[in-house]
Amino acid sequence: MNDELAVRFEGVGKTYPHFRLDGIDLELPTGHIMGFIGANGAGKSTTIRILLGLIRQDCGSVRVLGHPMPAQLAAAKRDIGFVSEDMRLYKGATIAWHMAFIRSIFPKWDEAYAGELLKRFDLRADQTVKGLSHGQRVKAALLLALARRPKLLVLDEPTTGLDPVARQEVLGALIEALVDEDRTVFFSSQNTFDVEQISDRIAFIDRGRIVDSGDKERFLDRWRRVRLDVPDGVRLPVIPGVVDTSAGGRIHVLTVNGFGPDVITACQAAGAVVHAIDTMTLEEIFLAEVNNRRKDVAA
Amino acid sequence: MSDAIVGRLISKDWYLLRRPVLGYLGGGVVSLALLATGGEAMFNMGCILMITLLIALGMHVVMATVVGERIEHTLPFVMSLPVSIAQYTVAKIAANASLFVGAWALLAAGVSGIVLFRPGVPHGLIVLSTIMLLYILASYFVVLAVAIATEAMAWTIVAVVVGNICLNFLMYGLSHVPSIQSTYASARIVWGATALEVVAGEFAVMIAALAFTFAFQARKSDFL
Repeated sequence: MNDELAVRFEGVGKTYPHFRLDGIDLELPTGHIMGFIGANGAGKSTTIRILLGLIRQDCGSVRVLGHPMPAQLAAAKRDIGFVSEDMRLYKGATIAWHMAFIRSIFPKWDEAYAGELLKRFDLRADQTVKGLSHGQRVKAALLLALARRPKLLVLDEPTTGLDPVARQEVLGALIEALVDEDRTVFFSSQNTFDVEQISDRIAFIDRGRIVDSGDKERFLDRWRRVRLDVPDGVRLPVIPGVVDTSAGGRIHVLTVNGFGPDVITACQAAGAVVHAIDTMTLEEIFLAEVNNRRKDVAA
Repeated sequence: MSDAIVGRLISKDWYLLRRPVLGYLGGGVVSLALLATGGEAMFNMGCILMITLLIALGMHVVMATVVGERIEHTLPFVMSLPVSIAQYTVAKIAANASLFVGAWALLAAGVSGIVLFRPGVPHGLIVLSTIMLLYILASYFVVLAVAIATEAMAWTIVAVVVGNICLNFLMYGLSHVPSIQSTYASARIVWGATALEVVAGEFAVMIAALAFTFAFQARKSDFL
């Protein structure tokens, strides 16, 4: 085990009657925030449940904070905070009761920090969970996860189902909470905008397979959209890294993974005129990756 | 940590169910009052109320602590804690057993006390009441096992319904077994071989239900 890795998946697979998680290799170094992006049903939650030891993989190995999973799930979870979109607290109990409950289990519970988070999240300790809005429930769950001072924070679509205002509040609170922390975070979402805001590493998952993963900045640097004027009679050569080409008349748009000057040189050498080289958003990159992979699989 | 977390989970279920359990105990006290002071009609009503309350309490506790955690999505919260599957199973069984068996034991003691000390009630009824009370306990452990294994409301309800149907068969059977039926009106307690076999069978069902629960949970590969 590499001590620098908080999470390590090697060849992890899990087969269900109608879904297969296939050959998942994933590494999350300590101190980093990984955005785990995929569409509904891509395998995000299954991957997270395997990470937490709550689903036993059919093959491959998983180590979390140095613990083999699921063999040592209880030991690993002493240092993990987990919040998921489908997690609920006990309706009839107050936030204060939940805080006392978690405090009684986690010796590292930070009471002062919990009080600070209560204020920051605009929650009242004597509120019962029944009376909380969805956004407040998510914040309360985040508070309970953060104040136990976990080494690894696992968030499974925490912003899903929130209205835009509550989503921004939760995300803002999360960014504030993480800014001074040397904490490792595994953040799953189908919302690339959320992930782009808080992550420094990215992994894309589609139909049970990791499509790509790596450093976010390098990800964003690698991808470009090139707009070309291709005169009649000119045929563009096969250019390494071009994953998609769309054309409307003389205007061609190339989507490039691994952009470099050689792409422009190749276009110009063929007789095309480069109009613009645009950066791409994470969402555009995600869609390009997924569509490209699906085309490969279909072929 | 490992023992402490089981204790915390048990306390949690105790806290969350304290009011309903106290409510059922209150109903049990009313039922005992009917048994202790009423005439024949009130005595029968007390019996029916007691059986109904115990079955309802068992179902309520299991539904709230096991099936409810799945339906209400509080299971992910519990499983985010440093708890293994085996510890969760132990905690659930211990919390349920202590909540239900505690109330059951109090009310069963009350029923036995009334049979033994209320003038005019034949002591021989102890055999019937013990068999009935143990049946409710055994049936409860079967419902608990099904609930923990399946975490499904539908299967748990099926287990409750089957248990109640079998209760009627048991009552019919007991009233037609001469060696048991003949002891009801007896002034002394007579434990015949058949009655002891029924009691042994009830204990065997309880042990089998618990063994099944642990064995099934140990084989589960997906927990959430």
